[in-house]
Amino acid sequence: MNRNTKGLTSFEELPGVDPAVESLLGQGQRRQDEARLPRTERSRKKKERERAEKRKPNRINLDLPVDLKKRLEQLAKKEGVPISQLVAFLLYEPVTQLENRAISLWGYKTASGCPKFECNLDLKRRADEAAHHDVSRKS
Amino acid sequence: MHTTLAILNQKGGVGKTTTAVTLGSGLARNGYRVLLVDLDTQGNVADSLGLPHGDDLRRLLSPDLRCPIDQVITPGGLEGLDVIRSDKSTTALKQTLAGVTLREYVLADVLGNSAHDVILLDCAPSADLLHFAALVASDYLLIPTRLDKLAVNGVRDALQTLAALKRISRCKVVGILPTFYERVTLESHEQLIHLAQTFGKLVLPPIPQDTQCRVATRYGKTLWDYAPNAKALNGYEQGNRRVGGYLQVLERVKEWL
Repeated sequence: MNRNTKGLTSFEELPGVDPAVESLLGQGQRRQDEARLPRTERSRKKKERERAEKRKPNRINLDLPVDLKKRLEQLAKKEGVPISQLVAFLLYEPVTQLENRAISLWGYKTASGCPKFECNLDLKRRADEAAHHDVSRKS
Repeated sequence: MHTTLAILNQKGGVGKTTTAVTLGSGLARNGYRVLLVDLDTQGNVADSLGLPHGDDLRRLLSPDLRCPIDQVITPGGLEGLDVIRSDKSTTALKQTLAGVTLREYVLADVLGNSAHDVILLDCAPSADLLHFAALVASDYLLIPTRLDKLAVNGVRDALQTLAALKRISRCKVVGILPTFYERVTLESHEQLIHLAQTFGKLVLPPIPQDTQCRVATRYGKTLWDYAPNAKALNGYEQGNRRVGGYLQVLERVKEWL
């Protein structure tokens, strides 16, 4: 068994290992590393973990078109804000408009092959329209 | 054509029976026809499934009885799951078989007629005649082990036994299953690293230590029935996925079949 200077076995030296085992060992290693930190550092890490845990129920995964994701990243960087907050900021107005029927998804819905959803949204059309709207506004 | 999987470790108390019963019932729930054979004189498979003890194994293998396999099978209380129970009479059976020629093939011969998709052999924690017969009858070997030094030595012993039977057994080791894993203890962590360093990809995702396993056995129910949310079944939460547990192992077993 290989031992590092702190008397723990280092899992980084493992050959081919089942990915699930590797991920559990990685987590174990992080716990062990954390246990050796000074008390203040340990409590900071603990608070960080608790904050992340609290945010978990509010989290969703979004599949964004590549170009939109890039633009959001650039904007977030330029404005110096977290990308998730920027997306939330930008969503407030259209969400209210959709709820009040000021805007509609009509014309963007296409049939979905997936049993989970009735329709998909034509995001390409939406992107083209946004680009066209931008050009005409500038001209 | 069936696949035979032996669940074996020469060390006791490592979770062989729990593994056999949980995987057997899990496969049956997934539509496989499963035969679970108890080769241990303690007859704990019957206890785990809430069945009375019986001498099914003796009636199947004893040279003077040799009942057909379909006459000794007991329904396991779940559609698709059949059991061949064992009890203290298995001790006498082993003595009887000791004088039989080609005794290592005794299990392979009788199980050849089985109409099941999967046969799981729950072996006793000793290197006896039935232990060898199980390795000769099996296609694959799964070795559950606790994460302590003595149980890991049992893995080594099981592998040595298999190597000694190389000429008469086609059995391959498909996995070493760490059981009773406690992710917060340094010893479990160290032993899992040690196992992974020694056996690499053979080491399967571990089964978390879970009291529900013992409670389910007390009530004679499988974990799937008694505690479907048990940590031992579902593993640990890591982000938005689960790691370890019998559910993940079951998926691996299905890949071998």
